[in-house]
Amino acid sequence: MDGTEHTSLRDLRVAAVTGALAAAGARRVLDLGCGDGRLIAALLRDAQFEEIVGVDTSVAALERAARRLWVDEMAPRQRQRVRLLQGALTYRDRRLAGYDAAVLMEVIEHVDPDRLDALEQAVFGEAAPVAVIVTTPNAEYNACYPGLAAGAMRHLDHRFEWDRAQFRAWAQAVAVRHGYAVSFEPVGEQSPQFGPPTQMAVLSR
Amino acid sequence: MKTITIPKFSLVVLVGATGAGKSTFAARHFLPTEVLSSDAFRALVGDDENDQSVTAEAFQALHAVAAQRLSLGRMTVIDATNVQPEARRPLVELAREYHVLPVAIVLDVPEKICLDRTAARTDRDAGPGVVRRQCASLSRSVGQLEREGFRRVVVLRGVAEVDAAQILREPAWADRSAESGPFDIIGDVHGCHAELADLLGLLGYQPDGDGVPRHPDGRSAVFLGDLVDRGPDTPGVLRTVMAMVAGGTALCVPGNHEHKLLRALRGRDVRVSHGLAESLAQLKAEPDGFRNRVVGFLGGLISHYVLDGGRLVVAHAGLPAQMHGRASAAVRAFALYGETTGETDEFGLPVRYPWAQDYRGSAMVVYGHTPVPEPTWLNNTICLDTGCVFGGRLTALRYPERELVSVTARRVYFEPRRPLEVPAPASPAAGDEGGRLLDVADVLGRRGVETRLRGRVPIPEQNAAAALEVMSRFAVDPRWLIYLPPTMAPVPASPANERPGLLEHPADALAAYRRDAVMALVCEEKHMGSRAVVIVCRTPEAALDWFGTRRGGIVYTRTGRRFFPDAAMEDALLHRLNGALAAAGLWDELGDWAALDCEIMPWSLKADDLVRGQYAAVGAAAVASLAAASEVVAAAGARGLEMAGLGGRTRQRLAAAQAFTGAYHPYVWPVSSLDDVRLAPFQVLARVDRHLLRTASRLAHASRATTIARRRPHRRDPPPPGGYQRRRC
Repeated sequence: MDGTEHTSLRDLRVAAVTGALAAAGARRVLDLGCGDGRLIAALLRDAQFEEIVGVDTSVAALERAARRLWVDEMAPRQRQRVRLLQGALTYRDRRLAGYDAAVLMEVIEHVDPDRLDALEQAVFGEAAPVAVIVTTPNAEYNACYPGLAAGAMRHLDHRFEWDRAQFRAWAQAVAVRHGYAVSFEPVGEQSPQFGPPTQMAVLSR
Repeated sequence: MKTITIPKFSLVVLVGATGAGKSTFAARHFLPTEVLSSDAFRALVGDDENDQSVTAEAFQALHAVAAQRLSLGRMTVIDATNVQPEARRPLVELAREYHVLPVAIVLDVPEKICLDRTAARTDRDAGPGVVRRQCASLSRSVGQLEREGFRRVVVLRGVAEVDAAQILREPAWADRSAESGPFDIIGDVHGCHAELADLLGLLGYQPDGDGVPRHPDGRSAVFLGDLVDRGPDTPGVLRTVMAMVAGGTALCVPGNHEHKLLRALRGRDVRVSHGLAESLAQLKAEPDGFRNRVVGFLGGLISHYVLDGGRLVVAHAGLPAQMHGRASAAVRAFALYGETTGETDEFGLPVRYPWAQDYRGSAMVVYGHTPVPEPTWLNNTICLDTGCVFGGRLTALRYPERELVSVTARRVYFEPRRPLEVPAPASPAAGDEGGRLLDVADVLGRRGVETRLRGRVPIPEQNAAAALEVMSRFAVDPRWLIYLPPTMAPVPASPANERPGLLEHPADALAAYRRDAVMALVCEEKHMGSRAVVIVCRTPEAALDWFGTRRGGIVYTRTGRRFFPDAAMEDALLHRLNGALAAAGLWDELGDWAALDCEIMPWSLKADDLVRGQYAAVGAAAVASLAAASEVVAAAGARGLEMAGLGGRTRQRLAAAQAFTGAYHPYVWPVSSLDDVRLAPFQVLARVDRHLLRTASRLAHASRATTIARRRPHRRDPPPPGGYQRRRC
């Protein structure tokens, strides 16, 4: 993350995702692209979430997550709630089947556009959780970051940033292909002209 | 003397009271490592082999070790009393789980002897009551063993019989690994006798003196089952196959249709469907003797065979790796019927689970059962049922050549319930990913790559993890990554005293190759660009077939990343290259796609940051400052100061700086469209029989590459030096 984002946007995002998971009644949750475990830490504070699996392609990120969550020092019952796995979201992964919900928080924009169909197949076709929560930047809102040049993206590794119409179109097409219903929610303080900084889709079947 | 014959790989459960002599018996007939004794496991987990309080933990450990041995296919002997049914049940379950024949060997020794032996031992504290109860349990058990699931039960009565018994280990029935062919493996015949005769003729089989088809080169046919039903001449097919099997020119595994026909012929109550009815009617017209021989033949068929040193497995409906060479009701059922998902499709037929998609075994599996329009390889498996009886073809696979040979059905003998053209329902997907996703289990953890020259190259777990991260984040779709080029190996440096100022020299390079016994050397022009692998597919269908996507191809760097950030330019290049290959007439030779090892120019296309940030900056600064310095020095000289030495050095340095920028200028020019890009292919790695890389000479590659280059439209000469600088101004 870079400094152009309002510092509390991350916390707002975590709160929005946690709220959506709670509303979906999810108990066993996948955090796909968990990074250093910010969301997992929040989920562990809520007893509703009985099992939380963090998946990331970076072993270093998983090690940071384990440190942030104090995994090695957890009491046995708490330790049973959390698992950290290396994986890649463009691959089928049988370990991820049968969960109540999966979260893709600020993840899809790090995937090359021509690999999104593999991610879609792996998450919605193979892992197929009951609910999937996706957040991604709203490119329109970039105009509100004074430090960001026109057309630039918020992060060096972002492969794309979508406006609201593009994200809706993608999420709705995915929902139709895989039998999910989809709803959208804004995250963060909205601009009357450009909408929210982060957009969130909740897909459920 | 009693000889006990057991399969080479089985789970042997010894049953007998304390003092019956189980451990002595086990030591006499089995390796110490084959025997898992409950006493030894009590000692392992609790330090004392008599400590009954750790019995539960000891058996858990014993069962765990037994499971590992069975999964590895090792003979395993359980040395425990096993007189109670609840002690035996988990062992039978283990045998079922690992598809091993469970064998019970009962040591039925008189109670008195057991008591005397136990009393004589100082290291045992089993009281007489315990031994008596064990003997009572044992006599109740003997009659139950087969019902409990033991496939072979041997009861040795009395000490003399126990002492005299011999054990003979025989290979599993399915194990024919000593037979290495070559084979002609034939798919589902279904009573199509005429087509079978056509196919055998086409394969080169000729009737011998007894009229049995025999191959002059000693090849053997392998029939994949479903010889019978639906077609016009089931007895004719059976007569041919039975004669070939009896004559040693064929092997045969059973299909589900043989299984059902056999039950019908044996008078069992089976539903006589359309298809089976034809067989029964046709066989009814045959003499009793033939029908009896058919029953004998079908009854003796083995569920599957492991052939050619374990490299080939044949089974009617296919077989997952963990079932190869094993024996259980589940193995037989899988070999006959395959696996279904439990659902039925729109034609009312069971949906088959695509087991081959998950297959990762090293043995090639050849099977039939599911009619397909075209046999295709999937994970080293292939289905040869091309629906002859439905008017399709009868197909054979030549092994080890991997050649398909087929004959067309003379007519439609039977209307299929599901049209052949309808592919199995695939899971819904966006784009082209359906059912073709790679599995992360294939790339995570400790792995290895089998290589031709270096055997197995191990990949440590952390390297696999790092590779997954970098490739999944930055590389193109891994299905395109058929080749990542190595860097070029330079020749040794020339001796400094003989070649002053030169690092390498052609004469020394040629001498070095000669010393290394290189027989032929191809010299190509060195293009100063960026290395790229270009895969170009002839048609979108070919791309889908080979790479699972309809993209016309791809251009990637030496590290597997996309070469062109601009997708439109990549598409244009692929399109133009496809046209060039077509114009050069190379597609007919290459097949469906070609992979080219290339340099792409200009160098600045990829190396722009390097050129701008380092070379150009250094060159510009040096030229600017030295030019200014020259002027100052010249002015000072003009005022009569002695500047000859400094002036000369400064001019030299300026010339060197200009030469430095001049050195990279030829490789730098602006690119605004594809017309500014040059492609220099120097090696063609293509489909052609899959071995082009290995067998064709580099000379052939070079000449092919030249052909493409000559035909390439809009060949562009490099711009004049200074083009890059002009752009910067």
